[in-house]
Amino acid sequence: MTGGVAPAGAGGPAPAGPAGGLHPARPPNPFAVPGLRRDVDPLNPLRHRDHVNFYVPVDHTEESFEQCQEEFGDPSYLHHEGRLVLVTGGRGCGKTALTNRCAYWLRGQLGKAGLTAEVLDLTREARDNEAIPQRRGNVCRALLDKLFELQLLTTDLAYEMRDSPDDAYRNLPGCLDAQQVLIVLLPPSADLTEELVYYGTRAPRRVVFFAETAYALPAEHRQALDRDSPVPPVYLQVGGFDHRHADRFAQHRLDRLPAGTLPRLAPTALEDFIDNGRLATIREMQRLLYGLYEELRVQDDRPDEVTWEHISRHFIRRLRDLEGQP
Amino acid sequence: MDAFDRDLGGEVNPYPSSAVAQIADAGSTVLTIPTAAVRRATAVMDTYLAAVQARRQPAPGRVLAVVGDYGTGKTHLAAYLIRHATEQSAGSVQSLHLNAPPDTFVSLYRAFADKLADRRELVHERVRGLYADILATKLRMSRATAPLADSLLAGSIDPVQVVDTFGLQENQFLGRLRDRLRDVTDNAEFAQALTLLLRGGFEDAVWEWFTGRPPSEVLRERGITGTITGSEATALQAMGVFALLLGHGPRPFVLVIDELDQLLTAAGRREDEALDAFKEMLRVFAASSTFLILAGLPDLLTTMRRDVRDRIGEHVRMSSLTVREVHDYVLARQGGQLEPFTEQTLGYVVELTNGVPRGVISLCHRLWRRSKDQGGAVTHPMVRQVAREIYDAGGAQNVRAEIRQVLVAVGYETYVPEYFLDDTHGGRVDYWVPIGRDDAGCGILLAGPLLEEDDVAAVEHRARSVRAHRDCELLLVVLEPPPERFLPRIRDAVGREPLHYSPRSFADQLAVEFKAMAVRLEERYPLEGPLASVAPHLSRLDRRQSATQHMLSLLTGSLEDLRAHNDQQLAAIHRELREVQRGVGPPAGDGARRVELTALPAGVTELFDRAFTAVDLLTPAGELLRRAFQDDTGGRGARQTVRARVRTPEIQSAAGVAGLLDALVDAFGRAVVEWYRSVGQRAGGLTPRDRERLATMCGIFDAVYEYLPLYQVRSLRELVGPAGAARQHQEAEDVLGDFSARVHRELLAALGTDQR
Repeated sequence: MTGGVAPAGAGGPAPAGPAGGLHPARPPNPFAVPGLRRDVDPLNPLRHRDHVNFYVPVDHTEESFEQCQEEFGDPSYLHHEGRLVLVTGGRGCGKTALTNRCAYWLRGQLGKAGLTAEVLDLTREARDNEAIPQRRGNVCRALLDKLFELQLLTTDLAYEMRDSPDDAYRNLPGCLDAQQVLIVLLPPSADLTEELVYYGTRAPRRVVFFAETAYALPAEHRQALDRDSPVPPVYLQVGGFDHRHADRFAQHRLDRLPAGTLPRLAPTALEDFIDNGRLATIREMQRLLYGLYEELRVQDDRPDEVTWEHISRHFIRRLRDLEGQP
Repeated sequence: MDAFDRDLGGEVNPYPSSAVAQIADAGSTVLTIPTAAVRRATAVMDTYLAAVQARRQPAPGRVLAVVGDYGTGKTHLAAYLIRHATEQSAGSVQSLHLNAPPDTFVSLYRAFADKLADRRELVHERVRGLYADILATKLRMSRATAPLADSLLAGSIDPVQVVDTFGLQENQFLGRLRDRLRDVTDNAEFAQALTLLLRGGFEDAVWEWFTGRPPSEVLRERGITGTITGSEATALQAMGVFALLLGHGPRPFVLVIDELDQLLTAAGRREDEALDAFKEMLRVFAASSTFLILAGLPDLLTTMRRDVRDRIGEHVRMSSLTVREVHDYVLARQGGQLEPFTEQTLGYVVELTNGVPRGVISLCHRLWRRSKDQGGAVTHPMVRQVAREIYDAGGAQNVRAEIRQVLVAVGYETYVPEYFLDDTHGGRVDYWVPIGRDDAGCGILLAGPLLEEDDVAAVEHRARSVRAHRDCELLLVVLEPPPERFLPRIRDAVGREPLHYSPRSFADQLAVEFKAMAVRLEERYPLEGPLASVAPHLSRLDRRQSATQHMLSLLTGSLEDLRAHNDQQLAAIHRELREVQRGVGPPAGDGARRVELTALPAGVTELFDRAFTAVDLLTPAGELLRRAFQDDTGGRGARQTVRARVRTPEIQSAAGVAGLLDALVDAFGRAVVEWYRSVGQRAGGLTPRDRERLATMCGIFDAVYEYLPLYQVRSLRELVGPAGAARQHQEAEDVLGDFSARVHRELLAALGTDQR
């Protein structure tokens, strides 16, 4: 995939000092991403089309994206079948960013195939500490409410069944225009991987469910999905990475600034930080480097290059912030 | 903290007014007398603390039993050990104190979990500590993040916050935590539940599960399916899990289970499985880094199964205070002054109290105040006087009430209170139960405090006067243990050890003693001739005891070990039932309530007796509930059973049906008595109207009996009883099935009329 998370904050042009010149203009933070409100929000080309340019091929995220493209190269089978796309990977590894990228691409691909695609983001419609039936009910109701709001339902039949997910999903295709495809982004399943079997096996035709989980899919659930789904799910995976991928991500972002604007990372800085076999996540890198360069960009006196010691000092400053908290 | 009184002059009494220790006792006012027991227990604690601090392997867990009679300072010692550990460990000790309920290990766990739920931070801290360890290990690998690792280990930052703030792989670390918790607790479900505590939104569900409720759906979906309080074994296993968790790491954890003898007395009646689980729990505690203090009466060790007792590493028996120790205590309390006491008066205090700390302190408290009020030193007469006042306040009325209850409960409601064997006061017996021929019997003497020569002489005189008049077995009940030096004379005069009244165990001890006395008397008289008339009485006693014990045992769950001899016991009960003669009546307590049947012909009375007995056997609930209101060990056992079983709908339905059945037999009996009386008062024999009335009454009985779903009662018996219950039930149905027809037949036969 692509280095999936990116910050906003200082993403725009650096503010000029008072009276427009008492201080030299601050360079922008190279790790800020336009349009995002928090430094670790995932990239989302569905909302900000230019985010597609921010994905960096770390770990094997690019391969995962290509796999998705391949699976939906000819999406015509969706007229007859629904499908589940399942993204797995640890927390902060970029699952949501990959999902957004795939969904964005799929929407365009379906358009090319003469279908009308609508992406419905339900990722916030269920919580970890809710039981599966409750989560399933919440998602179904939210889906039908959004379809109603978007006036995509040709009859009210499915809407009237919004409290009965089984019935609602069974009748959903009949309540949509024949060319209408739904791309539904489900809430993270966390360790409730059992519910993935439900979506995989019940995906109505012309509906693609995107699901994600940070937990390993148990063998029995994988078998059930492969055996009982109308079309086997698309399994995409993201993971942590070593210092080489971390470097690739950092260079990609730093290359967005003119040379000399801000110090580069020393060649071994991240190696010193991520060593002894530890794997870092894209979220961790994003948070670290965004924070580090947020400090650097407002300094008048900047180092020539950023070493592990700068990273360590940054950690210690953050540590003090934490220790000061109740 | 100890409570201290001020005297009239405003001077603070240096002795606590309540010599009952609380585990929360702390502060400078608490004074511990360094007896041999205290020194030994302290040494055990010190060994433990040193091992915890040195993180020695194997884990330095300890199980210490502290046993002693009432007032000997067991709870005080436990509190002292916690204070001592706190002082020695710069306050890092965590502790919990439980009073064991006189109930099941499930109840013990509930008490433990409730305490723990009030101090959730104990558990959360340990889980976070493990999580911090895991994170720190990983972060220490990099020079850049090493300071973070140090702060984590020092506990100055929250590991959850670190993961969140630095965007670390939460699920990976949580997975490792779960594995680690599984290693620590050896329990996958607990490992999962404890891990969930670190994920937002699961705390309430997890703590509900910890406190014994079935797992909520969100927990079941995550593989937590068992209910901790589902059995005594799972409850005890859970305590072991918490011991492993709370004892983990460098901080000492002390758990005190006080009054454990109460629980084990109840547990002793149940299956070995629970005791096996308790033994395993002790093993787990010893293998953890927890210091477990088990406190209780000396019975705690003597009644405990040997293999279970062997799991307790250290035993400390609370000792009496010596005169020297009391002397030092008084000096410590009074700022180095002995006045108003003297060596001699302190010696007398120790003698009168047998050196029992609670008695010593209570007496010193009052004596100090009395001496201040009177403006003089403490004297021997003052010690005696104050001692009498304390003992008189001890409640002779309670003792009398309990004696009466016990005598009724064991089948001797024919006791005679305040029985005079001659015209002198010396021939007075507080309770006299005639047994055997020639006016023989068992007598209970109740004595006030035996503080001096005259007191003992009075007891000797009474006992000898009674013996001079009657062949008897005597028992002396005392409110406080007499001084050791008087014991030989008392034993000689009375014939056995005096029975000391203690609220928790008196009823059981008296029942045992009294039955032994009755048996001895019986042995002196062969079971023939005039004594034959007593046989039904003794049978009734045995029957009641057997039936009650049987019922309680079944209800409290000690099924397996009882089932083997249960059939024999039941057979004996049934044999005795068949021998029940008219006039013996239904089991204890029911006679007054039920219809007076003696006016009826013998055959009819027997039918009703059998019917009532059958109903009683079907539903032991009435007797159980009556016992539940008794303030003794039997009452506690009954209350335990009531709590455990009576709340279930099956029991309630069955008891309701059985109650209706009982009321039906009773109402039918009243109607029959009334009918019989009216017929008997009229000359000329039965009229057709009399016959019709009797037939109608029998028809009403049959109609109502048909409405009662007896299968529910069967389900009750099958729920609580073994296979023999089915036979009991069958027998009850045999008795009640054509009951009205038999009554009808017997009545007409008795009236010299055939039933056509």
